[in-house]
Amino acid sequence: MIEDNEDHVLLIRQALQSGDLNISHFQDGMSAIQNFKEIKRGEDAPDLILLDLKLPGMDGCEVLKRLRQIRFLECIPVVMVTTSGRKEEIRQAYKTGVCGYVTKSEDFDEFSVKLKCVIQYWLKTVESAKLACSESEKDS
Amino acid sequence: MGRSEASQNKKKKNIPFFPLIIFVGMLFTVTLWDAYLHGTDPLGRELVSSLILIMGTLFSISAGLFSWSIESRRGMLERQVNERTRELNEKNQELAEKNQEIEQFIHTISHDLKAPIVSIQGFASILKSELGSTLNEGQTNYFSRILTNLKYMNSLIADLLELSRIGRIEEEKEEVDTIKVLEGLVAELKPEMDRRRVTIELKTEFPKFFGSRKRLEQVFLNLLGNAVKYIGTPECPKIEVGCSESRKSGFSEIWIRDNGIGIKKEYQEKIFQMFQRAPESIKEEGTGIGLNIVKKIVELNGGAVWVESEPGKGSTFFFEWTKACGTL
Repeated sequence: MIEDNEDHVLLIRQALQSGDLNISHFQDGMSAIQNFKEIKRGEDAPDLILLDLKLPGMDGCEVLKRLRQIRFLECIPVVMVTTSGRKEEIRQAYKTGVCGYVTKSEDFDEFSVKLKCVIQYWLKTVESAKLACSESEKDS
Repeated sequence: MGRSEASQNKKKKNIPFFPLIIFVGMLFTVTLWDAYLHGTDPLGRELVSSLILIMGTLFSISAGLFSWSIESRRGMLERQVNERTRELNEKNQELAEKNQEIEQFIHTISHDLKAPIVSIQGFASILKSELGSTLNEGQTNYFSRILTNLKYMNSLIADLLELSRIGRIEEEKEEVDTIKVLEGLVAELKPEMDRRRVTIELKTEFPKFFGSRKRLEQVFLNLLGNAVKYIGTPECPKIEVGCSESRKSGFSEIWIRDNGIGIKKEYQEKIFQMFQRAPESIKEEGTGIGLNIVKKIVELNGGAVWVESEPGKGSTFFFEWTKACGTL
């Protein structure tokens, strides 16, 4: 999770009731990029990235562009979680390559349900892609 | 020396040649004409030839001067036009940059105002659900009030942001299928309409309109939304939407009629001002910005908006909007 607001980190964790999820948190894009650059094996890459749009130093879209250039992160699903619900920003985020866009400025219960749905969908997709990969490796 | 002063001086240098040359030329012409007309030769043939030569020379010089003067004036005007165009371009650039700065500023404010609201909203909801059945009636009421106020604050920020964008951000103008817009909006309002048992009926044909689709949708949404919200409790709540020819050429007059709570005469103009709400409407949630947004959008598009209403009987809101080309 790349999120600069500590309150929102807490709320997102609460919304996900993240007992079975292992969530690492970065306060800004740069520290996340530095950390991801040190990944040596595909297994160490995250299954999914939650990214805030308004971050100190570098905004979410710029962070996403940089993340995509890092080995093992080219195809990792990235979900934008932000307070802004402006159409232009949503459009821009999807153009940059996010897989989902969830606004925080709604009713908390609604936010929680939406976020869980989007995350579960992408985690399942990643899981089935991994499964397909390992099966084709076995076959070959 | 200022630029305008310099150009004034140039003007003064150029202009006095012409009356002098024309005066001299006319004097000689009249003298010669008079001499030949009366069959006399007062000045002698050689003198006449010399005079004609001088006249020709004078005319050539005057023509040259005239042409030079025109050329120099044209050059000066061109330079002035180029200068003014450059100044205008610079001003435009400055304005565009300022606009960009304002947009960025508003964006930042919007984000920074929303972030704490999201936190309060989130933590209040979590607390409320965790405390659940242990809360007494009063405490539950306090939580509801916290959440209602946060919702109001969210709407207020959203409306103020929208208001600040109208007219400042250039919107794409296009031909708009009015019926489709209305059908989409009715679908959007359906849950609230069902809750209040209101029906919306389109009473006339609608031409295609021209303008910003987003803004036209906003006008309809705010007016229809208000009609639904302030419907009150009539026996058969209904909203009718229609369209007729406007007195203003190229415009249609759209009306939205309801049989809701109505508005007293003294508030019928005030409600279009920012944060002004009629006392009858206070029971319903609202920021008092919606109709101001409508007024700003409609007037920017060249039209007008007004209301006719009778308390307890309902209101009819009218606005004018541009028709698409070729629409009767």
